[in-house]
Amino acid sequence: MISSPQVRLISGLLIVSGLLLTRQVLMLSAACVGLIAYLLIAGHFATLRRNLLAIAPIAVILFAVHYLSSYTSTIQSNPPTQTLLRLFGIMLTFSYMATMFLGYDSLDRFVQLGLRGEHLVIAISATSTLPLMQTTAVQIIDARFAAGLVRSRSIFSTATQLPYILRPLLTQALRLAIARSDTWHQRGMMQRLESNLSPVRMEHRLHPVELVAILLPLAWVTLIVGREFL
Amino acid sequence: MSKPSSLPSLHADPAKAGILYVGPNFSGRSARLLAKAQATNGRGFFIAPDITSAFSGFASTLNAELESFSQSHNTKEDATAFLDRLGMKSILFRNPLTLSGGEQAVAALAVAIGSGAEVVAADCCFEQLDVNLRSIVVQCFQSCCAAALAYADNRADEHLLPDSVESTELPPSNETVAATLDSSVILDRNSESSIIEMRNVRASYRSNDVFTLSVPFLSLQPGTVYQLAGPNGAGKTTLCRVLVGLLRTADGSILVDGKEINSWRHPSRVAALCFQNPDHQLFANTVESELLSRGIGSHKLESIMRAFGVASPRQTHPGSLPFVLRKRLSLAATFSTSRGWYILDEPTIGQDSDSIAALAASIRALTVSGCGIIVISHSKRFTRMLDAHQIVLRGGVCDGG
Repeated sequence: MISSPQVRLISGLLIVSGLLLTRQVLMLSAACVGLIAYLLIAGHFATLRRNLLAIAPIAVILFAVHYLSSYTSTIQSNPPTQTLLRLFGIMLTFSYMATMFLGYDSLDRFVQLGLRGEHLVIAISATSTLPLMQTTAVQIIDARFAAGLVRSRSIFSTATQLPYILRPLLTQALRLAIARSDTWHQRGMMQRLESNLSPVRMEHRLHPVELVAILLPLAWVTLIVGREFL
Repeated sequence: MSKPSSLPSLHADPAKAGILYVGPNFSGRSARLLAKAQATNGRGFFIAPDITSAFSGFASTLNAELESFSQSHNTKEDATAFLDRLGMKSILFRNPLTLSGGEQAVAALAVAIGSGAEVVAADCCFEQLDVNLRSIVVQCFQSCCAAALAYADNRADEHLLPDSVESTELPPSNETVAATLDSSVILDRNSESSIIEMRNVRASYRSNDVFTLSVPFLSLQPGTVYQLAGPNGAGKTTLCRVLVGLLRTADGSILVDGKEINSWRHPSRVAALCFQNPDHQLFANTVESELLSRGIGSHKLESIMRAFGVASPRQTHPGSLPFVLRKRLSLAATFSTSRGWYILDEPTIGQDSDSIAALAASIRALTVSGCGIIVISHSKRFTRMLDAHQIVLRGGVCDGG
């Protein structure tokens, strides 16, 4: 939905700094609602499901502890609540960073951000390694299921597969890296990136939604600063 | 997959001759193709048997790959037109790494065209395409692509070749003889086979998608070879994934000897699947330990290694074997598991005609002993040798056994 990388960068940085500053359940909840709303509106249902699976259990425990502790003591003096708040904040930070900065199709974004040549290659490599490894790991797990080497789909059975997955994953990654370096060479990709020949369109006009994507986090951070420090 | 659009005449550009290398395994076809690609001063594009290496790995869709790394807008348009001619424009918006084998081969050829290469050298790529598509691809390179085509295809005799394709036959080497499959070895049946039935089964890769696969009724009898036939992207691999339990069914039931089973919860209970790409299914440090880890006894180890021509590199790491041997090892590993049914996805990729004949003989011997085999193969010769019952899939719909 937000296609401009500059807007993503500004709004992402604002949100992350707000998350690092705040210790308030209300502000963290607002950030959580904002994330869910964005993912819902943008139609990123798979990302939403993944985020919810990670955040929801912590959020439930946090609110339960917070609700109980509000009867007994203040939040500031309650260590479990503090830990949960910190954990919740970290999870939200990762979720926002993944939503705003990372992505498989990151080439256009990095080019638009002004990265060129080697820096561009490093940036793309850093962000595309994880999805690539993920795809390969899924294929390896499937192959182990297909060969009957995993007895069932229980969490325990799947978890015990980790050592068996790592070896082919590494072998595959190394072989692919060598083959890819040949591909990059024969396609002249480095030269193309260095000489900025990538036919990526650079023009972009600020969309009203993108304006909201900056103003809303700005207002939220201002509120946090006001409540925490003033 | 939509229908391929109308094609130009077969002899559109006789001046731009294609080169076809034919010959047994280890006769130096790959080396010649690589040399052909490298001889053009950085304007050649070599597509290795491991097709995924042809993609940059940085794009989530083929379209993004073409937009970012095509030489110019014109070459990108050429690549899109190529896909259009093959009736496979729909793959533009899919992840090239998760396409089916045939689709991946077409995608790699499109990327090569987009890169503005003078020569596209494709090794084993054509073997993953169905017969009609192979002819069309060759014709496209002759008539509407700037690149010249050099390729190795063990199945070139199965389709019509334009006159302008120059065929070069290569002699066998010592290595060819060393790695011959031994068809005299009779593979044992490891487990009891059962009757498999699929009733009103529907499945899709994502919960909100239209159904990718629909099987109203399918009955599979043990002791029989079935060939899943259909164009690239018809749902052959998807059907196998459902049978083995790698894809959850949305509707319908799978019955084994009349008893309903949940294949998703207990994958590979009935059948073992050998994937098209051997690289994801080899887990051990040596060829020998790879086979032993699948439960085969040490007394059978020697015979299965001879049957698949992998006896000499027994202490080699599977990852350092050439593609042809990796493919054979993945087949040997599949047959080392104790199952009543075996599903083989394109088992003959990269294999020469002698190896194909030996593999067909081994499979036939297994079915005589009561084992059930399901094969996905675009090789007419191989399926004729197997005398396989055809199950046709079109647009994800299976018309029964």
